[in-house]
Amino acid sequence: MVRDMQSDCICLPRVGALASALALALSAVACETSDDHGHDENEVISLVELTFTPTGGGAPLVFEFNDPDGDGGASGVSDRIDLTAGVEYSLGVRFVNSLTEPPDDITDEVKAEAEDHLVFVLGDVAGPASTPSSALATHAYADLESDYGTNAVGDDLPVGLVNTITAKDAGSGELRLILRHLPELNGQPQKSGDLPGELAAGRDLPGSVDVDISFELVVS
Amino acid sequence: MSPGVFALVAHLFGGATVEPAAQQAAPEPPDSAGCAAVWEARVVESGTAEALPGARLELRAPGRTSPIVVRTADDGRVRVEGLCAGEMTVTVTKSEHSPARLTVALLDPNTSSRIELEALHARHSEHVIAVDVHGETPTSVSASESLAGAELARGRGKGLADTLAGMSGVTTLRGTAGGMGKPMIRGHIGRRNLILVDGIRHESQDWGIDHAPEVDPYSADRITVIKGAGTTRFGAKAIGGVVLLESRPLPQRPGVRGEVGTVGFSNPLGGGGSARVDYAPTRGRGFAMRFEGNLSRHRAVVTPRYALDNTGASTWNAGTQLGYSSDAVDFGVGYRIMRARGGICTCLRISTPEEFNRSTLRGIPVDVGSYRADFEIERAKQEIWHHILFARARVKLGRAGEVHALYAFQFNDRKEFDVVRKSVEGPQFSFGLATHAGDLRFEHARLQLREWSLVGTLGATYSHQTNRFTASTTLIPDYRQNSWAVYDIERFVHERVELEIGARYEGLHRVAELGERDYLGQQAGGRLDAGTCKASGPGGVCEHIFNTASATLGLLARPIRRAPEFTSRLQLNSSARIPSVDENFMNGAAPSFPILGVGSSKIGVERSWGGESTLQYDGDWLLVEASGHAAYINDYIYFFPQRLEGQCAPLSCTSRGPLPVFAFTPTDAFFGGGELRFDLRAPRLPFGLAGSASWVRAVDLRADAPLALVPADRYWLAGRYYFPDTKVSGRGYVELNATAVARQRRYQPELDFSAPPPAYVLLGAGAGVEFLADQRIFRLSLVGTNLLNVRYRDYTSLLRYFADEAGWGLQLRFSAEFDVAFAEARPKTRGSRDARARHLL
Repeated sequence: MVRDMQSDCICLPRVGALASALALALSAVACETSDDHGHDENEVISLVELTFTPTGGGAPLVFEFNDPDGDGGASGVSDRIDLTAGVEYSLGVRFVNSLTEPPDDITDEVKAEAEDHLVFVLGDVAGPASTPSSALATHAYADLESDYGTNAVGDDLPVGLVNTITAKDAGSGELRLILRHLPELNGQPQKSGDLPGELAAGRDLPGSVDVDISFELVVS
Repeated sequence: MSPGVFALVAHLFGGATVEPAAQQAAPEPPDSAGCAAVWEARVVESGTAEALPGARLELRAPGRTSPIVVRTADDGRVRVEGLCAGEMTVTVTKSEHSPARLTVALLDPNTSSRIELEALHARHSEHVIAVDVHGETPTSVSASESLAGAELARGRGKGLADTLAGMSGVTTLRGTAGGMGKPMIRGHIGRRNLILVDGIRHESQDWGIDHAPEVDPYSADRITVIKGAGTTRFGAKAIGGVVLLESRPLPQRPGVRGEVGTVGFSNPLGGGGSARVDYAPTRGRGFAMRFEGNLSRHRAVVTPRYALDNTGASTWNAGTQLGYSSDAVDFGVGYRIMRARGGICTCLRISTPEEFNRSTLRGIPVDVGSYRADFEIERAKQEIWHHILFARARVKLGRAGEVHALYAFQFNDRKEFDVVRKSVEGPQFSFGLATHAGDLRFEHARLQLREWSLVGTLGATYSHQTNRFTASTTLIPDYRQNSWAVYDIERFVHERVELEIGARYEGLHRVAELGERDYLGQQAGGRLDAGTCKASGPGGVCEHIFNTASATLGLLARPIRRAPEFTSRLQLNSSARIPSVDENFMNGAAPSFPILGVGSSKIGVERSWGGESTLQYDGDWLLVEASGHAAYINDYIYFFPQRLEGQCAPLSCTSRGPLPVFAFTPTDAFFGGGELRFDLRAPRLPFGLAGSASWVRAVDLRADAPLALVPADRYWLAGRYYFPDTKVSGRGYVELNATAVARQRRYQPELDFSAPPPAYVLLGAGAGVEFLADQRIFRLSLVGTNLLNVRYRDYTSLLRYFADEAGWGLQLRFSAEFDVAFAEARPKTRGSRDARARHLL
C-alpha cells in the first residue's frame, strides 16, 4: 500500500543484537496493523501550473499539466495553452506534489535551492534554450537566484520560476518546459549560464530531470 | 625432507600412479634395497570417530620419484609396505570432509597413525543413507558445480554473484551500484532462481533487477549451484536454478578453531577483513558455538578512462550460533545480520528520453570530468539491513529414519535514496519484508528391495510473509501471504543406477492492499481482475489463491562398470511458478530508468516442461562435463512494451516526459542451451589446463523473437603451473586465464534502449601458495583482472547504458586458519611424531 509517510516499524531492526532480533520478530508482526507514520521524504512533482499574466494588465491565464497517479500507469494530461498574438505575458511556474494531502508546493524548495535549479523553455518558443526556425513566441528569464536568497556560488544566474513570454504570430505548435536539478557534484557547481545555450545546440546537460512536460501552444 | 621428496612433490598434482582400493597397498618397488618399513593408518571422522572408507591418501615417501596413492578400506584402514626410512608427507582427501596433511616419521619398522577428518556434511543416520554415510554428497540429477576450500578462498571479499561468475552457465546481472549484481543461471534471474543459506530460503526484494541478494558469501564453506529446475525439493522459485550456501558444521571435537583473513583490492580501491571462531568445550561434549564477522569497504570503481562516481560501498556482517550434536539428536540456534550501503553511479541519472538515447550512443557520461573515485557514498544510494534468526533440529527415530525441522525469521529492510533537494533527508523508497518460515522433513529409513535401496524424503513447508512499501509514488503494494507445500522425493539406488522420482504440491494465499491512486489507476487500466479485487476503503484489496503441482523424474547412471568415474544424468521435470507480487501489481517507474512498469492481477501460474542431460567424467587427473538443457515455458511472464492511447501515444505522459510503458505479459517461451567444462591436471607434469563454455538460447514463441537479457555466449580458458611443495609451502601455482564473451546477436531492438555491446576478451592472472605450520595454515593469493585494461560493456549489465565496466585491478588475499584440539582420552599414535592429523588444508 502506498503511504505518504514513512513507517517507524521499518527502523526498528537497526539494532543488531540477538535480543533485539527477537523483539524484531514481534515488532514486524505488529507492523501489520500499525499505521504510525513519520514525515514525508518524497518530493514527487505531479502537477505543474503555468500562470500567464498579461504585463499590460488583464486576467491571468492558468494552464496545467496533471498526472494524478504520479508514475502510475495512467498517462498525465496537459492543457492547451491559448495566448493572444502581440501580448507580453509574465509566466509564473509552480510545481506541486498533488499526491499528498494537503498538496505540497515544491516551488518553495526550488526557490530555497535556486542555485541548484534551472527552468528551460523550448519548443516553438525562441529564447535562451531554443532557436526554432519559426517561433510562435519568445522567452526571456525574468528572475535571478538572488531574488530567492543569497547568491553564494558563482554568477547570479536565472532560475526560470518567473519568465517573460511574448506571443508573436498566430499559429499552433508546442511549448516544452524542463526543470533541471543541478546539485553540486563532488563540490563542483553544475549550474552555469551556458546551459540554455548548450541545450539549444542539442548538447546534453548535467544534473537530472525533475520535470519535462509539453503543452500544445496556440497563438491567435 | 630428503631431496628426493622435493622431486616427488614437484608432481603434487600429477595424479595417481598406483591406486589400489584394497587395504593392503602394493606400491611400486622401492628404488633401493633395505626399504622395508610398514605404515598403517586409520582414517576416522572427527567427533564421531567413525571409520571413513574410500578416503584417498597420497604419500610422498622418501626414495620415490612418484607419489603413492591408496584408498582406505571399509574399516577406514590402510597399510603400505616397502617404505624407506625418513619423513613422509601424506595428504588425505575424502568427499564431504576437510582434507588433511601430515608428516610421518618413518623411523621404526612399523609405524601407525590415526588421521581425523572433519565432516563438512550434516550428521545423518546411517539408516537413511543409501550408499556411504560419510561420502554422501547432495546427489543431484541436474548439473551442478561447487566452490569450496582454496577455490572459494580465492573469491573471498566479492559479492555472491561475482563469486559464482566463474562457473559455467552462471553469469552476473550487474547493477549500477558498486559491486552489486545478481547471479544468472542459464539465463534466469531473480524470481526464477532460489538462494538457500544453510537450508533457509533467502527472502528479499528481488523484483528489482538492480537489487543484489543480501547474502554473505563469507559465511559459506561451500557454495553449490544447481543448474536446472529444483522445484520439487525447493519450491516454485527454483524453476531456473538453485544456489546453495552451506556453512561449515560446528565442531564435534572439543577445541578452538577458526579463521582470520584479509583482502585488499586495487580496483575498486579498498579491502576488508573477516574472522570466524568456533569453540567446543571439553565439558558438555557435543555443544559448540560460533562467532563470525567480516567487514569491507571500497571506493568507487575505475574504468579504463574514468571513475564511476559514487560507486563506493561498505558492508559488514556478523553472526553467531550455538549447537549441540550427537548421534541421536542435533539442534542449533543462530542469528546473522548484514549491513550494506552502496552508492548508485552518478552516471545513472534521470534524463529526458532523447538525452538517454544520445548518451547510449555517445559512450561516455556527460559530466565525466567531475567524476571521482572516492569512498564517499552519496545520493543516489541504497542502504540495507538483513536479519536472519533461525533454529533447527534433527531427531533420529531409531530405525524409522530421522526428522529435520527448521524455523527461520528474516527481515529485509531496504531503503533507497534518490538525489533530492537538500531539505529532504530520508529515503524515497522503503521496503520492509518480514518472513517466518518453517520446514519439516522426514527422511525415511532405507528400504532394501533386492539389489535396490530406496531412500527418500517427505517434507512440508509453511511461510508467512508481509511486505511494507513506503513512498509517495505507487510501485509495489503492501501484501501479506501464506504459502505451504508438501513434497516427496524418492531415490532408488542400484550399484550403477540411481532413479529419482519427486512430486510437490503447493499453495499460496496472497492479500495485496492497494492505495486509492494505485487501485483506481490499475482499475482504469483494466489490469485488475474483478473476480479477485474489490474496493476497500479508499483503495482496494486483491486476494489471490494459487495451487500448483510440480514433478521430477531423474536418472543417474554409471554406464561403464570399469569406469565408475563416468556418469550420465538425465532429468525431466514439469515445474510451476506462482507469479510474484510485482508481476501482479507493479505500478510505477523503474528506478532511474526511463520506463514505467505495470503488472496485471490477471496473470496466473507459469509452467515449464523441461529436460536436461549431463555427461561427466571425473577422474583423478581429468574432469570433463557436458550438459544440455531445454525447456518450454507456458505463460512465461515477460516484461514487454505496450502501446498506449492518449496525448503522448504510444507513450505515457509523465511529469518527467513521455515514457514507454512495459507490462508483465504472459507469453510462451523456449529456453535451451548447454555448458562444457574441463579441468586437466597433466599426469607427472606440473601443468594444468581448464576451460568452460556456455550457451543459452531463449525465444518468445508467440512473437517468434529472441527474449531480452539472455547472456551472450561465454568462453573461459586457464593455464596453470604448479610449484613443487617445500617443507613450509604447498599447493603453489600461477595461472593465466582469458574470458571471451561474444556479442549478443539475438535481441529485439524495440525491447532495448540500445544495441548489445561488442564482444570482448579479458585477460586475467592469479597466483597462490599455502604455508603450513603446526595447527595452522596460511593462504596467500594474488589475482589480477582485466589486465589489458580493456574498455568493455556487458550485455547483462545495467551499467552498459551509461558507462564502461571496471578496468584492471589486483586482489591480494591472506588468511590464517587454526585448529587447537583440547586434550581428551584418545587412542594414541604409535611410532610417529604426529599425534593427530588435523584438517589443515
